[in-house]
Amino acid sequence: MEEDIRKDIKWAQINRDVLHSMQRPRRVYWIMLSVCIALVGAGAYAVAYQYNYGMGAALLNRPQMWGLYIATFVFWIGVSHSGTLLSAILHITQSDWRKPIYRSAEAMTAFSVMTAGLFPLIHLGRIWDFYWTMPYPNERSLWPNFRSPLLWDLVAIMTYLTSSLLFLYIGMIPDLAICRDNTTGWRHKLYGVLALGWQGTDRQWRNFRVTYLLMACFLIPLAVSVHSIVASDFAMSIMPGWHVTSFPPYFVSGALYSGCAGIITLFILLRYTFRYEDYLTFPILDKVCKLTFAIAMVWTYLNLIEFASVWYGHNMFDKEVLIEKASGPYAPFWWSMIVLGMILPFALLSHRIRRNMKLLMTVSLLLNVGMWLERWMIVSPTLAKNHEPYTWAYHWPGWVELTILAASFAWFTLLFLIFVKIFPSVSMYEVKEMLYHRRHVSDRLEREADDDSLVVAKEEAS
Amino acid sequence: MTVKRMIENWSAFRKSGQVGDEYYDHKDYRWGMVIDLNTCIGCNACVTACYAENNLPVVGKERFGRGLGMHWMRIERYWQTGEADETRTRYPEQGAQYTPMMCQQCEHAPCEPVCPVAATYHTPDGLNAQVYNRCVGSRYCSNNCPYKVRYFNFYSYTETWPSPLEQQLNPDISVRDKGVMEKCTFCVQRLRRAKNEAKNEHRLVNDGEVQTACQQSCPTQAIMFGNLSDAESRVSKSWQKHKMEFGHHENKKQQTTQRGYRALEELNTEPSVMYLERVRDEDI
Amino acid sequence: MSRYRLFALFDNFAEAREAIIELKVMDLREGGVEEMRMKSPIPHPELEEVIGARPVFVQRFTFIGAVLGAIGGFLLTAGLSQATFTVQPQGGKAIIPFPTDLVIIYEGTILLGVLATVLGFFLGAKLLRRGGTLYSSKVSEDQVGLWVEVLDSHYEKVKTMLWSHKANEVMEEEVP
Repeated sequence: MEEDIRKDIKWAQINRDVLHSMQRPRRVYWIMLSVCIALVGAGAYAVAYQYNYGMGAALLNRPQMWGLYIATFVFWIGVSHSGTLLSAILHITQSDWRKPIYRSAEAMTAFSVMTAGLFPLIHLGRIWDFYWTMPYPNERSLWPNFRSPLLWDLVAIMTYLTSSLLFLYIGMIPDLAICRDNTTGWRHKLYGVLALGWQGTDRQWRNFRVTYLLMACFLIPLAVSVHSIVASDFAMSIMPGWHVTSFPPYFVSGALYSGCAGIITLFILLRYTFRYEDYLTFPILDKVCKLTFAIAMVWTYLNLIEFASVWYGHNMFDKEVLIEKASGPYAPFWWSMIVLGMILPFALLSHRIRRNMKLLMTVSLLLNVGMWLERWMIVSPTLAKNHEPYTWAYHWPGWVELTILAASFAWFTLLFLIFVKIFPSVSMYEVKEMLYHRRHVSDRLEREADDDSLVVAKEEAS
Repeated sequence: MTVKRMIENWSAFRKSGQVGDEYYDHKDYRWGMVIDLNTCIGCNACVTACYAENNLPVVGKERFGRGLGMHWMRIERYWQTGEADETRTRYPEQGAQYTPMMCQQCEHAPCEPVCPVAATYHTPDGLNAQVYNRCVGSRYCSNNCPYKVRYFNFYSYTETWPSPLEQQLNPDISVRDKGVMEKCTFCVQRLRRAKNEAKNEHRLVNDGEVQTACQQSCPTQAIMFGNLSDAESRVSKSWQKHKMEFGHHENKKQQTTQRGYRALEELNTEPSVMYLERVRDEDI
Repeated sequence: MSRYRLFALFDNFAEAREAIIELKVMDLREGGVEEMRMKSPIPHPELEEVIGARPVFVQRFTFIGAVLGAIGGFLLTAGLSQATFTVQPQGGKAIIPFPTDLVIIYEGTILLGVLATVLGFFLGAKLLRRGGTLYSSKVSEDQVGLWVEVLDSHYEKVKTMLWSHKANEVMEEEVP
């Protein structure tokens, strides 16, 4: 059986490989960076256009008051659950195969939360007054309304952003010390400041271990609660198709699903770009794919159960919405979501597909496309077929919304591109830990095996 | 001051208990409306009057077709086909049915708790108030409204009134900018004026003294508006006659003359508007 | 009595462990070792047992932070809703709706818990203090370092002992 990681990798080699990834980038990198900046600029122009002319530029209408912005917002929060799953949950279960991949997954979390945080602002009608949603003292004694799920969103996302950035940073401190020790110039100064004087003393390591575990313990309920709160934007309303009690766990499972698919994409990209074959190995990829499949099945179940409960009850409003999703103008998108979300994950079970990098990359991207479609299919069909038949209408995105959607992907990629060149994208000290414990365990097992053979030999002799 | 206010309102909350959680049961005014669908002919005079009274922008044919109309009062026209509905009547209703629909001023308004900046709340009068200045345009209130009677300014409509048309605007009410949510207010500017005049004369507003714009312009007088706290007002008597009260979710029809119902009552929104059903063929 | 600081680099944990044990034994018999620290690329619980476990206080910070966060969350929602009391009656709901306040309390607990943990970490690990003294970049690579502060009297003895355990390098400085 293939090992998760070769046991004979030298620790100095790990340092060298990862530090090599931060060296001067090739031309492809600069081209990608320029494309991303151009797209983000296009997105900024679309936002400015939208606010100059009014939200009608987004082709919204009555009753379709929420469109792609909210769907994309929920999607990005979903993608952000990847890091939490890998870093926090697998840390507590002591699955050490997470160690080479969790740094990039955690970075993905932080950046997707930063991307998601833009959308509640972009979808506001009067964005220049957005600060009224913050509790600050003013002479009119007006405070935000804490009963509103949108405000719970604000609190939850700020908490999640702060916590995941801190988690990423604290986990990176020993690596930043390595970077500090091996660089010169502006990088040396930067890492010197960020590493906070880390020297790897026993006192520091002792505190570090406890801190990391505590933060992981906080981060897991936080991630669950954040996406449940985002789900309650829908679940707390009375609209048919939204007022579903299974929305919080449904959204959380969809988020973990999105996140895992994102991890697969990133895994393949990093492995190919930085030649991390020794660290981002195939057995680890296998484990991530199997995890994705398991979560996909959870999501599938919760999705099907929602349909089952609509069919089971006689609520005509809910039935109308479900029939609309399956057979109305949105049907091609809804059925694509069903195929991509429920049937495509079975491809992850095939060993051949898991070893074919191009195919696996396509599969993981399509899985995420399916998840984005799922979010859109939650927002628009319910608003199309609401309680009042006179107001039934459809919403199709225009260039403004699509540009901003593309710009959000560019923004995320931009942040990630900057990250991989400044910070180590594989956690060096954790890989060393992984190697040490595996070698230690196998050495001890060998020694015990030797002892056994000694005992047997003695018995035979006597 | 906060503490004093807290104590006052807490005791008001504790005193209520006649109907559900209503805070303001003991207050002098509780505005309500009755719309007789048998008398309504769907002429749209109320819609036009509302446009004039409340400075509503005319958005134009193309934008109206896209669903951007700003008509706080709208006549919903449903067209029933000739097939017999066996559960309801032997003689199918032919043709159009009209429902004038405007903000139902729900007691348990689903739009109120979901606004992130508290731009909408419930007044002591029983009205659902929208504060244009505070609205940041998150549009959650409209998504949560089951009647979809909240209208969002998707564009800035000031070009609707090129000079000198802006002279026709009602000075008692503002013109809303883009990004702000608005809806029917039961002509709150008229209510304020009537209440002020009555207060100056040390009395309450009499029944029929104040009329909403839609009520005033209706040629068949299908709309009745008044104070539900006043047991002698026409709306109170109508509510009593049709056995309608706050706090129940379904009006069981005990006799054919009992025609009153509230829209989407089963959602527990407690609307302040009662509709009187059309007289059906089989009832006669 | 002047003091010396010695910093020895070892190739693997086994050697470092031997050195620590011998140093501890010597210290028990004769004294002379003021302070001992181990600098390593990865945390090593077995060496930490030998060098002496010290209590970690981060959990207390976390607990206090979490409790303050919970109380703060409640005060924020309940208190601020009182201030805007005229707009309070909304959707027929109560004055202090506990289900909605619970969400903010939950998030407040986590936020302040995390911030307090980070603060406890910075204080407990004594990260931001100056005075790195002896350090080698090899520690962050693959070698284990042993940092000892000894009295003048035992300086030579400790130095010889460190070399005897196959130390790659021994750095020293005198403390004035």
